[in-house]
Amino acid sequence: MNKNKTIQKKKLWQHPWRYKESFLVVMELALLGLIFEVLTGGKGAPQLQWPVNAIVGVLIISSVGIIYYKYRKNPVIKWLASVPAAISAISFFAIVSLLLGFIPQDVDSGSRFVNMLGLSHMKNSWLMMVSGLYFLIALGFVTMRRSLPLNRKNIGFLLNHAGLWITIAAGYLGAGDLEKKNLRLVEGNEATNIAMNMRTGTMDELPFSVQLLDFNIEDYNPKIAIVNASSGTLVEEEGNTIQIIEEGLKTNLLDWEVEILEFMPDAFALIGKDEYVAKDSMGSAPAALVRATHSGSGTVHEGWISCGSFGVMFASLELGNNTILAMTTPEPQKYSSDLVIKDNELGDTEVRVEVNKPYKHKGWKLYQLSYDERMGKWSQLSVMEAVRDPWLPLVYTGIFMLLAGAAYIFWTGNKTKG
Amino acid sequence: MDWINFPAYAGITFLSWFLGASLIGFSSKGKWIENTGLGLIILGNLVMILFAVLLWIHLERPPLRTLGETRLWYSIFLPFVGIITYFRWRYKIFMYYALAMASLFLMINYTNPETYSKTLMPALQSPWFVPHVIVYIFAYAVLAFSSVIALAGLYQVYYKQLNAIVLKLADNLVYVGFAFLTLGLLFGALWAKEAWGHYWTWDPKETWAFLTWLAYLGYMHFRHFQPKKVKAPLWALSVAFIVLLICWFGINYLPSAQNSVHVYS
Repeated sequence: MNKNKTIQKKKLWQHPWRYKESFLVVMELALLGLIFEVLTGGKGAPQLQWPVNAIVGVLIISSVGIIYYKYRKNPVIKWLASVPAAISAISFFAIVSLLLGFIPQDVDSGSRFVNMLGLSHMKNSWLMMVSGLYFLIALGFVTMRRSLPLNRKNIGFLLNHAGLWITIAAGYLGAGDLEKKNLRLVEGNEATNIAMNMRTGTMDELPFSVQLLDFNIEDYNPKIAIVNASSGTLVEEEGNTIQIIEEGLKTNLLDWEVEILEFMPDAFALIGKDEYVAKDSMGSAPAALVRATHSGSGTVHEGWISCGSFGVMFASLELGNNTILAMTTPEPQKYSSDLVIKDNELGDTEVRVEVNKPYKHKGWKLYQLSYDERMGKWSQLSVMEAVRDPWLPLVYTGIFMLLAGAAYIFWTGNKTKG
Repeated sequence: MDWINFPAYAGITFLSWFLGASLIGFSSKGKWIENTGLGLIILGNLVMILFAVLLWIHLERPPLRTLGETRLWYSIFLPFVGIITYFRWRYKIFMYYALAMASLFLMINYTNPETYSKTLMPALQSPWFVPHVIVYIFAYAVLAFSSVIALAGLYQVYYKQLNAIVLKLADNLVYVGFAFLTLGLLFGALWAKEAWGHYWTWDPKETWAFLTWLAYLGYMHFRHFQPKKVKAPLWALSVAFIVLLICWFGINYLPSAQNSVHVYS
């Protein structure tokens, strides 16, 4: 072999390793992940729980630290802390996420092949585990290499790289300790501490009990729309086909001039008559007296419409040509639950929990999850979700480091390469 | 639409942009011509901002929910990025691109008038809603720019000589865009924790946002390692934008996204 050529063109696997070697390593790791998945019967990687996950985390950190400290001159370690290794790790993670983004997850794919390789449960597949581990190891080494000794110049580097490391490591390792439990509360029932564990499907006890005093729901006004009578779908053409109802509203829907003559947010139909009476009690539904005038022919239709409920029949106005003027079911504007949290140590607390406003109690967060949608605003059932995530402070530490790191990137741009 | 006349606002905006852009074309004839042009472009933008504010007040909710509403914000942010880039780099072509794209978005909104709906599902009623979406739209606008610059760079590579300033500009935009992409992603995570109980659920939109983030992350590392190589990063930047587009509205069509909270009309 020509000597000059060997100097210019290094052989495969000859150090320093670059892109080719990095991607070959990734391919081997991916293969390894798939083999593990098949060997374990497509059940996915075990989800580590306390204290095993903490031990594994400490082991990864300390081994990366010790190995870097002792063997930083070793070409393999140098490679692991290099950009080609980083890019291969990013790509590996990206491909795993891509599979996750394309293949519907957590539903039976119907294909034994897909299930066996873990492609329908990527989140806890061996492939994800392997790619995550490779990502963390490469990221760990480069963080060591570039952040030490720490000074003002590499603070941005540290925030971004260590922040990402902490976020991913804490998120992945902590997933096994995440507890999600659903409480089904009914107005008038006694306080309960029995909740359904969403992972195992078992009924578990919470360290406190909850009583539902009142479930509240505020609806938007319903909408009025021109609907295809046989399919029940909106007639979509250029222009307006749907509008929110308000008393006195005059609007144009397609070729119709529509007027809301009367609107009752809570009403009941009078039996045998085309007439409604306003009454705010269990089972009522919104109703409106509408007049539609065709802008071309001048044809007029007038009558009561209602979206209906379990206590009121659906009613619409026929416009001909297989179209009707109908009222949509009102969309909830906000819903909330008034609760009493009963705790043996802390006593009783009255709280209101609504969407986006969870309540914190003893390391648990209580969320407003859902209600009985068939009953709508008359629902007496409120489903709360109790979530406990002991790793959250660590994840947030990582996230806040990344936020600071993003501000740093924005501020300095790519001028500092340090 | 009787309460707020979108065609009028869009018309005034389009006219001032068009006049402004034409004047900038003759910027060599005098400083005042250039300044008048810039002034007109900024005026057009202010009119669009006014419209967005009025819409916000009328709807009693942030107009950030539907695709049409996000297009409105693009037609505000793209010229904004164009103006800033112009002040910094004096690149007319990007100003023209920004104005053309913004006008296109206005045109789409004009030909597809939306039924502006006041309703906003409870999960979206959060202080996080506005920062999350605005930061994302800004990031997308900046990154869209970097891709156009990459395309211009590719043209130069193959048919002329690459102007070094092109990659530098692209890099700067990617860094700014990436910072905002990171903020958007993390704001989303913090919000999700408050709204749904977990910061990350691999919802399809999350997955694709993460993929977009990884794509630009890869680009930045590649550029850092081999700043002399130009063809590969230019191609990568052009392709990264496709991932971003899938994330923006392609999600609605993916089979894996049928239960996503991010699928909007």
